[in-house]
Formats: sequence, structure tokens, C-alpha cells
Amino acid sequence: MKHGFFHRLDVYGRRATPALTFLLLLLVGLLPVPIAGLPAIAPLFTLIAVYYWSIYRPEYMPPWLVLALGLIEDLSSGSALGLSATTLLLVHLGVAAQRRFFISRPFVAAWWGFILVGALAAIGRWLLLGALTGNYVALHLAAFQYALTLALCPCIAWLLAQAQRHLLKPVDE
Amino acid sequence: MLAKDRGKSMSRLTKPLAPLAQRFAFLSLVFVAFGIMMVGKADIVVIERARGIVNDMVGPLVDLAGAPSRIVARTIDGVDTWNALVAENARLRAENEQMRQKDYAFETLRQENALLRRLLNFTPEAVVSFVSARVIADQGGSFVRNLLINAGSRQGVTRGQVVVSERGLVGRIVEVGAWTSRVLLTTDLNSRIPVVVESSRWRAVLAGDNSDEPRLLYLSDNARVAVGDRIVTSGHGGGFPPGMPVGIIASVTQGGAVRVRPHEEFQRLEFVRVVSFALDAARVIPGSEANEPLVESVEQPRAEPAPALAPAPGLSRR
Repeated sequence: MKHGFFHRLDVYGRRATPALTFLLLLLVGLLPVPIAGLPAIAPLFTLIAVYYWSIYRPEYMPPWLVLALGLIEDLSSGSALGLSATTLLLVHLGVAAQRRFFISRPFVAAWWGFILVGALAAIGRWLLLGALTGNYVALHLAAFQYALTLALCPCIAWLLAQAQRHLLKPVDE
Repeated sequence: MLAKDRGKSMSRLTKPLAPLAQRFAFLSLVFVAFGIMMVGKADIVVIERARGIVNDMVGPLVDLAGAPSRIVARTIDGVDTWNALVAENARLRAENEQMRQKDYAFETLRQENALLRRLLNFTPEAVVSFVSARVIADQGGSFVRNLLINAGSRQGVTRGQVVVSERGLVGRIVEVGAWTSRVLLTTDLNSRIPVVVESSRWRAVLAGDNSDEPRLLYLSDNARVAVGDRIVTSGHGGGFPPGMPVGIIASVTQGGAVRVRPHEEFQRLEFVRVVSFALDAARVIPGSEANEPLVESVEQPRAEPAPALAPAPGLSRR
């Protein structure tokens, strides 16, 4: 069955939902927040996006896309090039291998998984940055950032679930 | 539908190879990521360009998205100011009075300084011109400390220029796009700034570590520093002009670790100045009051011996 141009455009647009939500969360993370001390522990929003989509819709978040989005994050945040790309890619590969376990259980299980994955990602990033620059940042900053990310995970995941339900569902079948 | 069928027949053919190929693809992507990290470290032109382009694309989006929060912050600020208007007015009057006294002292010192410089045939300091810019993105996190501002190469911003606010040093330009550029804050892990303790003139290097208070490195063991001492740039290495206020010493531990609290609260910054301090007089902004004495001293022939203690022409005019 042949579909019209606009129908196809709609389908592609919907399939890009995971990538677009990633970029949206990246933008939110870049916004200046006029609260003293907060930027020091800005949460890793994009990590949540990669984690969520790697479990629930890995077909729309393939490894090459994770790599590309990670590079965009590195370039737009001015951090060491490849730092986010590498950690996000490793998170994606690790989670995608275990997704069957999470997908059959309620979200709480995925959140518990994120406690582990988030910690590994934070430590991995910290180690990589240290190895790249030769300076290790104070570990408590990374720990605060991790804790904040963990706390925000359910809210962000809920928003992503809404996006999945309303935007992705129609193209799933 | 068709694609799905094709995919199925393909997968039947390559079934035994599929997991191997997939694993290989994953592995090679991880290698690519590591490779990019190594290449990124090399600081090559292509990556610099890419950073500039991405900044130019992200800049307007963040600027737009940040508009509501700016309006809210300004409204709250406005209400606060309205409430405290009388008290604020009294405070400002008092401050103004103090400032006037300071201004008088400052003017005297400035004239004396100009005279002494003339006597010494002192090499003139850098001459400054600047571009003002608004902060559009604020990249915090334990991994990076920088700002994105809405001025780029089109506005004359170049890499390495110094960024200041009205309170003091903010950082240095590290990436330049056409309309945006990125400022590496003094608190960033990669920031190293030659500084001196203002009163005692002990030299050190201010090294950021992504916390709010950067450390003082290479401070002599004999140096006596105390909490509250002012830290200014030393100008060594030529990256920063000397004497720029950076911050005050916030803590000194038994082990000798010294931390500095920057004068500026970077997360509250809305506007900054990108300063270019050229070491030649050719870039003087005409008519700029502050530059006048420097220009005059440039005009003096360098080889001429220092004149005896006589009033300098510039002084008698003022």
C-alpha cells in the first residue's frame, strides 16, 4: 500500500520522537538557571532519555544515533569531545542487552536499574574526564549530580512515556 | 511492509552471522567514540569549526527557550526592588557619597600614577576595546563550567579574549561561532590563570576544578596569605592584563590548600564584556577618556631620557 508524502513525513517525524526528546532535554539542561549553586549539580537529563528509549524503543534509538546525539551534546555543552558520546553509548549498549528484564516489569524496576546504570555512567564520566584532562573533579559534585538525576528520573520518564504513548504509538503497529 | 519482508529474508540468509556482525558493529562504534575523544583532545581546526557551528545553531534556541525564565526573574526582581525602594534609595545615597570620596582619591592617584609613569618612561599598558554580550546559556555540571554568549566573530570576538563583568574577571573565550561564543569560566577544570595576591604580591596560578571556589596553585611556601586577601591577575604569560580583580581568598587549610571565591556569581550573570587588550596603540578607541594618558605616553619617544621632576604636560592640563 502506497502512502502519500505527508503521511510518510508524519511517520518519520513520529519515529524521530526519541531523538527529538533527547534534543529537547539537552536544551533544557543548557538553560541558565539564576539559582546560586544549582549549575554545579545540573542533572544529566540526556542520560535519562537514552536510558528510557534504550529500554522501551531501542529501534528508534540505535547505537549510531546515540553516538551522534552524544557528540551534539559534547559540542553544544563545550565539554571534552566524545565524553558524553562514549558514556551514553556504553549505557545504551549495556541497557539494550538487558531490556527484556525491564520491559516485562513495572517502571519501578527500571528505576532501580537506573540507580545502578546512572552510578556507573557518573563514575565512568568522572574517570574519563580525569584521564582526558589529568585533573579529577571533586567526587562529591559528581555524586550530587547523580543524586539529582536519580530524583528527577521518574518525572522525566513520565514525560517520555507520554511522548511514547501519544506520538509513537500510532506508528508502532 | 515491503521493507519488513525484505528484512526477514535477509535475516534468514545471514542468521548465523547476524549476532557476530552486530557485536562487531557495536564494538566498532565504541572504538569510534573513543577515537573521537582522542581526536577532540588534539584541538584541531575542524572540531573548533564544528563547535562554532553547533553553538550558532543552539544559541538562538536556548535564547528563545530562556525568555520566560528571564521574564519571571526580572518580574520578581522588579517587585523586590519596588518593595525596598526607600531603603534602597537611602543606601544608594550613602554609597554615592562614599563613591564620590573614593573618586576624588582615585583621581589624585591616577594623576600621580600618570606622572610617575612618565618619569619612568614606563611601557604603556594594553589599550582596551570591548564588546558587550548577553549570557544565553549556562553550562554547569560537575564536568564543565562555561557560558554561551550572544556575540561572535561578526562582532569581533576572537579566541583567547578576556571576559569580564562589572565585578571582575569572568573567564576567557574558548570557542567562537559567527554569532555566539563560549566563555571558559575561571572555575572550570581547564582554567589556569596567573595571579598575584594583591597586597603581598605573591604569585600563584588560579586553577579551576569545577567547584565554586578554584584553588591557588604554586603559591610559595613562604607566602603568608589570609582569608579575605584580594587576588588579581598578574599579567604573566600575556593572556590576561595585569591587575584585574579575580576574587578573594575564601579558605586556607592547614595543609596549605588555598581556595579563592570569585567576585562574580557566575550563575547570576546576565551581561558580560568581551575585552580585547591590544598591546599596540593603534587600537585605541578615539575619544575614550580612560585611554588618553596611555596614548600620550605612547607618543613620547621611548629613547628619550626621563625628564627631571617637572610637571608633565598632561598633568598641568588637567
